[in-house]
Amino acid sequence: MVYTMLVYVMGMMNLRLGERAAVSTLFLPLLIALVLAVTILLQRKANA
Amino acid sequence: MREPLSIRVTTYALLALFVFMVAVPLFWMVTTALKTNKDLYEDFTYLPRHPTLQHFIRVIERDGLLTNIWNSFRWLGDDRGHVVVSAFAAFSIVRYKYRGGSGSAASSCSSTCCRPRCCSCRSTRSWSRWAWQHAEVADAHLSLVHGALLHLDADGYFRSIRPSWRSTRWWTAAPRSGPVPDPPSLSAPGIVASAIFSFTLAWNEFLLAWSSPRTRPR
Repeated sequence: MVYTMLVYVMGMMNLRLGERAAVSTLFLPLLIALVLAVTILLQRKANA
Repeated sequence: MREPLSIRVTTYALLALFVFMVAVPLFWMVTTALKTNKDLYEDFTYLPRHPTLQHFIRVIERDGLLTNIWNSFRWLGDDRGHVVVSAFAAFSIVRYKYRGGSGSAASSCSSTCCRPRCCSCRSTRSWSRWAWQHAEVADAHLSLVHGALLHLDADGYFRSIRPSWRSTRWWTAAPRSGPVPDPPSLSAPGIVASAIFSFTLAWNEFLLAWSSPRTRPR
């Protein structure tokens, strides 16, 4: 099972809202890091 | 020249609205993760009264979160592989000639009919040949609506890479002799690429549905 399915099963089927939000929150730093990396790469490409 | 005040106010108001719409779900997600079950289900508050990490500890220890994250990266790699194969297939359609020159992919292709026109990359040739063989199966699985949408998307994408593709014949990369381009010759790369992509996506969905019940959370 992938983690998005885990979130769906937790939140929608089992109604464990706190744990569902915890799984999503654990991925938030990774998402922010990816956004920053892509932004820096795009700016570097635009300035080149 | 400075913009009028009304335009600046409207711009910043729309930006603030956009930030609000993005920030509220994130705020809701983080605060929900930090609340206790009592705060969530009995005494609802917008901010957690007694912040706790119990939900984080529970999902990591009890629900095998790391296993699910590993599975997610595996599926991500699988999807990227499908995109690469589809790109090689589109490349082969433009750079190679296929026996027949007309008809469907299923009837005009075999594993030995590809021959390079001007490309010396052998690995690319073998990859594109493999992808072309899968187009035969994809042609049978292509749904009408999904295929039409993907066709529009992929056709526009591939045509944007090289404008000279607009003057190609049906299934070949030879220059057109007629003055008016016909629609099938314009959309051939997009149709085949979308067929392959639909096929690989269908298998992706099937494998996901097949393997999900075996790893349900405890």
